[in-house]
Amino acid sequence: MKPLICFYQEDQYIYSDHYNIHSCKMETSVSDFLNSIEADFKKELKIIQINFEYNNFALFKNKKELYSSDKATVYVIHQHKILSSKQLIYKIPSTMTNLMHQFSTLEEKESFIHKVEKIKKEIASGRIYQVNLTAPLVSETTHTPEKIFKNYFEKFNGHYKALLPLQNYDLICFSPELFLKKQQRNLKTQPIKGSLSNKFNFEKELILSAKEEAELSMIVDLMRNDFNRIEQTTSAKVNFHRAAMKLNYIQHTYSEIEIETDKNLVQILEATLPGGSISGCPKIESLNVIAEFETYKRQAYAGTLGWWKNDDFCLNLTIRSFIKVKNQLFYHAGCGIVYDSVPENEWTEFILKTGSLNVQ
Amino acid sequence: MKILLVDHDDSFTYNLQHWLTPLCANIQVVNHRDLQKNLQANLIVLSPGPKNAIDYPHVLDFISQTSARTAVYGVCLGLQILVHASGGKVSPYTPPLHGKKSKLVILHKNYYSLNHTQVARYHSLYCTDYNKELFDLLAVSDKDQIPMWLKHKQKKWMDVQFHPESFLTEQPELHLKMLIDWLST
Repeated sequence: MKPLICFYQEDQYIYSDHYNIHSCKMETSVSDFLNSIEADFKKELKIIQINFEYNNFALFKNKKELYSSDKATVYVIHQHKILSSKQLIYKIPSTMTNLMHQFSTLEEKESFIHKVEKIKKEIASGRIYQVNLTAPLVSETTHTPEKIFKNYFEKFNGHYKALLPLQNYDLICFSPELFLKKQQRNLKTQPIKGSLSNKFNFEKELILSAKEEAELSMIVDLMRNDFNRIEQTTSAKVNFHRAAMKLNYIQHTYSEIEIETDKNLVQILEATLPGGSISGCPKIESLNVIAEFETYKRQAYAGTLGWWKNDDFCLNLTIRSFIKVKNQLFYHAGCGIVYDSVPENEWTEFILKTGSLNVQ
Repeated sequence: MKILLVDHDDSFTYNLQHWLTPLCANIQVVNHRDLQKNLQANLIVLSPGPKNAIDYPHVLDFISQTSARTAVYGVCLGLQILVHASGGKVSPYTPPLHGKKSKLVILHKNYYSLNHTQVARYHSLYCTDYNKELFDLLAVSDKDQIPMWLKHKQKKWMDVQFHPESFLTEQPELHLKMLIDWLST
């Protein structure tokens, strides 16, 4: 079986080549699918992957698909090893080379900028406060998913990496963003908003920016709301706001929100999917705007993936990810658009998030 | 006591619910599309939300049919709905403020303990014109001086343009105490 890799704890990865795959059928809701998995395999270690469209399939039904994919997939793991990143890199037999993928965007710069301008008008009219606008890029590749994972591992650093061999494609994920982590009763999220090139000074250019502050503050209030929706007797609290996340290719600010809850994974996902930082605020209207403005379904991109065992789980937001379909390699990037957004700068941020891939 | 919290498809409604919980645990959240005439409550809270007051004619109808004794508290869009319902005018605010902070300038002695405290703002529109014979202006924002807090003189209506439920707002419990004190008068 093709090996599967998923982040576990700090610098620990789940590695397995002995698992069963369960896919969510088109006519089944993701909630029903996950409930049936929980009933049958509660105590087993599982890796789950859910597409961005989640249960909002009707809203995006007319969008083009880049590849065929299931709404959600669960791997029930029979045997696995826990490896450090060093052990993991050693375990993957591929050679280290400098990958030379030449990416081209499936959205022209002019079109992206035009959309940013139109979204700013929607914000001015009061329809939305912020929306995450994304677009795909594509390249040809002759390399295996393992080789791509291994060779971009250092370049795209981030805690929530994974390599999943799905039914119709391979997902190679270098996400730095924690979506949901539940340990016993404690549920946490760490939304990221605010981006800056490593060329610039974090304190001066990011922390002092009222625009970048507002982008994250908005998502913090939104995630508080989604957590408060889960529970009546305990309330969400903000543990920290605007901490620094310095990656090899970009720097971000992020915050942490938590709540105490006894609810299970499905109940929590129903209140929180799709994630706030990759949809927008207010979420319902943002999803309508995304359906109106984006050309393609996002599919695995901006969905969620991670591990699940008993009542504990840890899921990322599936950003900074490659999708390999035969010899095609897709990558997506996006930006939070607010009224203060300068369209040209949002395009620069879009390119920045491709992490120095070669983009035409 | 019972609170009816009208949700305008917003992403802050449950923060508002949790903020109100110390006042009353019996809070029914109702989506604006599901409002029915027979819904009863001691306090109706109109949530923030997207779009414009005129996009919610059914909410305007619902409010016009509630008894003058029913307390109504409007937040952001909620304020704009109550101002619009009273013949006032809501216009675009440039540049829109979302997730931004301002200080309150309190204009009424009963609320003075909140003077110069920070509040969160999320709005693209604001009330440019409200009937001064119908509303008391309790506070404005410090730099742009726009109406932040209104109280109806005859009906039991109070409205805020800022977001008392936001984590950016200072002393949310004091804002709640002001609401409780007003309800008991």
